[in-house]
Amino acid sequence: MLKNVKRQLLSHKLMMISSMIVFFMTLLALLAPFFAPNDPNLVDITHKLQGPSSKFPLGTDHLGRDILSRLIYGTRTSLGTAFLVMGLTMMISIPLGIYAGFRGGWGDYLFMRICDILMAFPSFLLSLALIGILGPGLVNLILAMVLVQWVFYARVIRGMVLSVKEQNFVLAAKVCGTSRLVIVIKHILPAIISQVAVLVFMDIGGVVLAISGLSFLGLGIQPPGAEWGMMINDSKQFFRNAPSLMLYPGMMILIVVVAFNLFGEALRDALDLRRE
Amino acid sequence: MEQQPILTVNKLNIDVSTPHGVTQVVRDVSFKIEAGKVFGFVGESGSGKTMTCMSLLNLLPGEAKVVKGSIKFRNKDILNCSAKDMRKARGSEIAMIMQNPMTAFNPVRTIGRHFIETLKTHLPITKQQARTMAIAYLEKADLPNPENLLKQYPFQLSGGMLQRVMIAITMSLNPSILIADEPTTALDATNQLQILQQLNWLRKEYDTGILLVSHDLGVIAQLADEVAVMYGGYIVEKAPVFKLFNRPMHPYTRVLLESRLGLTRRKIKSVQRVSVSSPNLINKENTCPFFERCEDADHTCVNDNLELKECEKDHLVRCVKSG
Amino acid sequence: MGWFIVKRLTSLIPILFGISLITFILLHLTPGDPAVAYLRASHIPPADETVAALRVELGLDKPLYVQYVEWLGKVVQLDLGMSYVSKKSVWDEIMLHFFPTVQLTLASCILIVVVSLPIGIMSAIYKGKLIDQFSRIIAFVSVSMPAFWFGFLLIYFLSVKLDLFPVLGRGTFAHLVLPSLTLSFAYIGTYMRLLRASVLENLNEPFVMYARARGLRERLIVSRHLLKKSLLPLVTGLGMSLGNMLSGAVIVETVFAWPGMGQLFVTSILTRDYPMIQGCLLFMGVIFVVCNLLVDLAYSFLDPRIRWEGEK
Repeated sequence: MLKNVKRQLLSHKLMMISSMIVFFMTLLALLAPFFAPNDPNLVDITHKLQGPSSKFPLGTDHLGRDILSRLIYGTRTSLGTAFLVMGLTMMISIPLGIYAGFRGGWGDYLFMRICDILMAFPSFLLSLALIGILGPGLVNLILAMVLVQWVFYARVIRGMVLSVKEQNFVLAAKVCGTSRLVIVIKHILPAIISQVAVLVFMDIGGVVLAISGLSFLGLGIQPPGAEWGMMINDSKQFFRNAPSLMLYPGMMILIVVVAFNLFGEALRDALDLRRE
Repeated sequence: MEQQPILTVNKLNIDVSTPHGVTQVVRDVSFKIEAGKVFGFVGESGSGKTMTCMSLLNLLPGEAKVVKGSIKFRNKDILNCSAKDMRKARGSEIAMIMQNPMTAFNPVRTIGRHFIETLKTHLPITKQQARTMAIAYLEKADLPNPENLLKQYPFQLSGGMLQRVMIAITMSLNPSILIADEPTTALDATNQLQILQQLNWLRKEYDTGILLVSHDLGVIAQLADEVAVMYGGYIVEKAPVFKLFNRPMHPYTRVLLESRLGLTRRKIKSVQRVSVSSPNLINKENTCPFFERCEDADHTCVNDNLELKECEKDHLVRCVKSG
Repeated sequence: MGWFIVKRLTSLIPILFGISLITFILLHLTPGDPAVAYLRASHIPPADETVAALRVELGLDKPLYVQYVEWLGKVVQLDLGMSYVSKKSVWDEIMLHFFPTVQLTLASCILIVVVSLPIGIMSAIYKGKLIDQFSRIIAFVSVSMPAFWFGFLLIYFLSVKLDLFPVLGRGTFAHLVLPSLTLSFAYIGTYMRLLRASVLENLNEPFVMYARARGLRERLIVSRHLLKKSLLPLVTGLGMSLGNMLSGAVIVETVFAWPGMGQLFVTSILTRDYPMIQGCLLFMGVIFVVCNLLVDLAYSFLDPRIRWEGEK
């Protein structure tokens, strides 16, 4: 019994910490110019690869740019891109998933076949290929990720709709002659929206990882923009002499992803979606 | 003719710790099982029947614990014997057949593997000998084409057949006690009868003592020699089967008997009288568990000692009003 | 069993067709003229007449469906065209880079199984104990860790500081250690927890209780009853991951300069080598699908219920 209480408190504490990190990071991203002590893109070769000082709290990189400022601006790129990718994905997946699940028929059949084919590719590689075709860059990266991801989420949402559709309150509304649109908006959407939210927050950490991975490969934001994955890529030639250059951005990614994953898990537990 | 009982349970108390507190699932339960006799347990779900069965094998789930009482098998103290001895006794001395035969077998292993691994665990024989033995016992349990059966997977058989396989496995090791936890609940009527006949044959042929658990009074009436009615963790009434059916003394037993759907159209008033709420088992010392649902309850029922009293010969009742 | 395989194989045909279609269409989504891209990649100034001549040479002047059919006809004969950059056959290049990837994948798979199997089972049996907590933390870190960063950390501490392993490249067995460790790390956490959940679920099944009630030894129950049934989800997951890894552990290969499929793919993207991109994608898609097929077969081998359904 005591153990149980302790576990609950612990998960509570973890939830508190993770939401605080998520909140702080969002703040950092929104108010990056306010927090950053220096211009993140100001190149000054005379100051290159310096250690921490009062002007550059975490030192400078190979072009003499302030690492701390670049990390802070990197938050903006990483979180902004991740939220944008997820938001756009949902704008496609929610309507399509609901349509396929609720209406069924040949539209659903077609949708499922498209899923079969698109999901026959490893998703990260399909994004890579799309960027390869469209050309590297942040906009193309977002486009490529959304175009690959939507299938997966639309299919999960379709499944949620299918199970809700058979529940009595929806059947009752149908029997009453409620129009389809009203059923979708008033009954189906509210029933699945918390599950969708959990799904989004459970996966957003993974999206951050994928974005930083693509940037690391040089396929995301182009120089001089700041992004954590790209910073690691930039610093890999110097990492024998200046390992901290590589350490900081990686830590940022790790912290953000852990926080989001914990937050997603806590959210799932709070909404009690796990069937155990 | 007084016989030495094989299994003696004395004043057994089991607690289960849950997130909401400690639940007392079994209270002051005592009974004996003799060779070749069938002892029946009746009661609704949650009355503590399954927990009692599990404690006999020393297989209580992690959150459940025997807090008081003793279980004696022949001269062995089950609750305090070594894990190794206990393991050896399971299956060979005290066997069990499970409630739902469809889930009792591992779906990815054949019947033969189940049978042979059991035999090889308890007997010093080769795989081939075990196979021959398995075939012989499957035949004894009236199962057709046993050689082919050994190669089949559990999901390829019906519930009734699987139940008979369990009985065959039990027979092959000739245990002195068989615990049958709701052996017929998951089966249809014709299969039920066959299983009961087989259990009856088992105790006559092998002199096995059987603990038969059921919520179905019909099953109990068919097979049991002595019956205990359980309610809220307590044995509320215990008597030889005919005495219990002819002259039920505890109010709960009477409700139970009346609520059986007879072949005649009787009024269902008696069922409606019983409120539906389940007994609250948390931290209730010495109050009659049936108090809240009892028709005859009054102030004398509160705070009295709840001894199991002998009202007539071999007929024990746990009620202040009886006797 | 035979019928099951035939049925599964026929279900592959539309998927393979879809893969080829998507791969083909993707290339034609290219902004700009592929002929111009070809000339750029070959460092030839794209004059109008050179472009026109090249369009005829590459068959780009024909209608799209004719191009598709001709392309598919060549693909079936393993002719995936020629790289714009190296001017070598795409198929030959892929074959050259596929073996290192297979090597890396197999090493990682072995690591995944060897590490996650015992820890996963133990953290289920000793639920809530030290090993369970430990595996939970490892799992959390492993899914949140950027692979490229983890790779660099390994290089920095184990190769540069301690000089235990070679830093980059492929060659000796020692070269294999760090890349496969990096690649498997993310999967180890996932499968440890997956296995734990699976064992926990099965521990509460009545068949385990019945096995105990028959007096079977606990070790036998774990090894014969729990293991096989709990492995089922692991097999499915691992098969999918196998497809992922085989089709190129892009990031890990880049970090460690491992000359595999992933590196080939990234290089072709960065140099805009379209036939190579197309060829790689097609090849990876097919590998992925074949891996999924193998998983299904393995699954039906492990789970007699599926086999039985298939035969009915």
